[in-house]
Amino acid sequence: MTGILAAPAVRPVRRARPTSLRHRMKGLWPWLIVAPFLLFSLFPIYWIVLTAFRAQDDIFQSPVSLLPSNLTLANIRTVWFGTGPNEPVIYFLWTSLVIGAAATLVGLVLGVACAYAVGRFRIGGSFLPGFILSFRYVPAIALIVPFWMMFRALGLLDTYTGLILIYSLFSIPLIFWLLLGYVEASPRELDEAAYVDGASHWRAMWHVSLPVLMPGIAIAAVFTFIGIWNEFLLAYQLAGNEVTTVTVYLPRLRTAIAELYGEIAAASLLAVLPGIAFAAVMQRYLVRGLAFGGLK
Amino acid sequence: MRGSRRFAWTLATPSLVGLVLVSLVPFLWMTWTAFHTFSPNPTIPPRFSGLDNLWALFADPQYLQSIRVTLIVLVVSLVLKLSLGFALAWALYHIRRGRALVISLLLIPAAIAPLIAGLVWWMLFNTKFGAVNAILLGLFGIEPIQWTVSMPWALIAIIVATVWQSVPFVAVILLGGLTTIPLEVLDASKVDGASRWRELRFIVLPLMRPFFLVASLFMIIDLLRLFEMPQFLTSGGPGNETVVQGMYLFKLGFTFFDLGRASMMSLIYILVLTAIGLIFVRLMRSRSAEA
Repeated sequence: MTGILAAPAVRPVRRARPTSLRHRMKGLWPWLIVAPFLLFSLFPIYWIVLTAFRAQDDIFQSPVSLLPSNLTLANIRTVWFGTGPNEPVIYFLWTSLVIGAAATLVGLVLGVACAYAVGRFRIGGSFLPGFILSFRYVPAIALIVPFWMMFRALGLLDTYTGLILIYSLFSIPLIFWLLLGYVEASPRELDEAAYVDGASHWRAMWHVSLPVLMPGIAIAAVFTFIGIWNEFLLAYQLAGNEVTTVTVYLPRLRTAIAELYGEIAAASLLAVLPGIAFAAVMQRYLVRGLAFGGLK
Repeated sequence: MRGSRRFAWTLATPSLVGLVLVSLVPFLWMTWTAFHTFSPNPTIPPRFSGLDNLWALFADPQYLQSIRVTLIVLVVSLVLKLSLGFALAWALYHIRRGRALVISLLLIPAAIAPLIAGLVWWMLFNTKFGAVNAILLGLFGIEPIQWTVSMPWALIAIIVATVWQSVPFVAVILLGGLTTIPLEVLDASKVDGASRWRELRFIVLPLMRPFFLVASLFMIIDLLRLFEMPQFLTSGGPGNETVVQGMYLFKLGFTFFDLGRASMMSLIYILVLTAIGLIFVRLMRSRSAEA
C-alpha cells in the first residue's frame, strides 16, 4: 500500500530525439489534455478571487462578465471588520486557529508516541497498524448522532474543550499512518547506541529519535491542521454558538437578508488561503495525506 | 533492553484508549439507540422497540430516495473520475517539463474545504449571475439553465463539483501507478510493433488494476460521506431530489430529532462501509496473489 501511495517520482519519460516539427507536435499532445483540466481545476479558484474583489454591480450583472472589472476592496473590508449584524471574520478565523493548533498539538503528542511505539518496538504485531488505520474509514457523518448524544451527556456541547478533544482523537490515525513510515525508516541503531550509553527509553526517544522524525512530524502537523481548519460537520453540530469556527460562520453569510456573494467569496478566500499555501509547498506529500482524508 | 515492551505500550495506550472513545463507544451507544424509540419529548425515556426503526426506514420514501440519489452520484461520479483521471494521468506521464508545477496547481481543489467547494459551485451555477450559464451562453448560445433548482441539472451540478474536487487526486494516484511500469515493458511492445492504442489497452491497463482499485476505494468512501458540499450547492433541492445519504442522516437526527431511526440509518451505513472495505481488501489480495 505504501508503494502505491507514495508520490510519483518525477522522471524523464522518453529520451529526447532530434526535433523536427512533427516530433515537436508529438510532444504537445499531453498539453492538449492537461490544459482543459487545468482550466477546470483553477476556474472556481479564480472565481472566488474575482468575486471577492468585485463591486456589487458587477457581481450581479447578467450574463456575468468573466474578466476582471470594477475591482474593489469593499468586500474584503466588510468581512474583515464586520458590518451591522455581521461580526468580523477575524474573530472566527482566530477560533479556528486556536482549535486547530491545540487539537493538532494534542493529536501529535498521542499519534507520534503511538507510531514510535508500533514502528520501533513492533507491539501488537501486524494487527495493530491496520487496526488503528481502520478508524479512518468511518467518516464523522456516520457517527454524528452518538457524538452529539455523548457531548450532550458530558456537557461538552459548544465548548473549546469538546472540539479540541474530538479533533485531536480523530486525527490520530492519519498522524500515526504518516509517521509510521518515518519511524520505520529511521535507524533503530541510534536508539540502541543511546541505550548502551545508559540513556533511558524516554531520553533516547526524546533526544535521539524525535529530532530525526521532525520532517515527518511537520508534514503530519500541516495535514492535521488543514483537515481541522476545513472541517464543518462536527464544528457545526457539536458547537456553533459560543464557539464558532470559520467554516460554520461562512454559510451564515448566505442566509442573511441578501445573498452576499462578494462577502462569501472574500471570507472564503481567507479561509482557503492556508490550504492552498500548504498544498503548494507540500505537493510531494499531498497524495499520501489526501488518501486518508487528511484535508477533508 | 529490559522493559521495552512496557515502555512501548505506555506510549501507545493513550492513543488506543482515545480511538476507542471516539469510535467503539459511540458505535455501541448508537447500536443501543438504534433499537429504541425516542420521543420528541425529552422527559419520556426511550423505549425498546426491536427492529421497528429498521422497518420504518424501509417504509420511508425519503430514505429510499436518498439511497437512490447516492447511488446515482456514486456510479456516475466514479466512472467519470476514473476515466478522466486516467486520461489526465496518461497525459501527465508524457509531460517532461513542468510536471511538478502542473500537479501542484491541479491539486488545489483537493485542499479546499468541501463546504467552500459547495459555496463556490453554488455561485458558479447560479441561473442569473453564475459563470457557467454565462460561458454556455457566450460560447454556444445556450439559454440559461436552472441549475440548482431543477432536475436533472441539480444532480449534474453535484456530480460536476465532486469530479472537480477529486479528479486531479485520482490522476496523481494513477500517475504513481504508471511510473511503476518498467520502461522496458513499453519499449518491448514498441519493438513488437504494437500501436499506441494496443499498448495502452493490453499492457498498461492490466498493470494498472491495483491502482484503479485503490483509487476506487478512496473515491467510494469519499462519495458516501458527501454532506456539506451538496448541502450548500443545492440544499437537497429541488424538493428532496438531491438529498444524499449524509444529508438525510443529519435531517433525521437533528431536524426530525428521531435519534432512534437516525442511529439505525448510521448503523446500516457503517455496515455497508465495512462491507465495501472488506470486498476491496479481498480484491486487492487476490490480484497480488495472481501476480
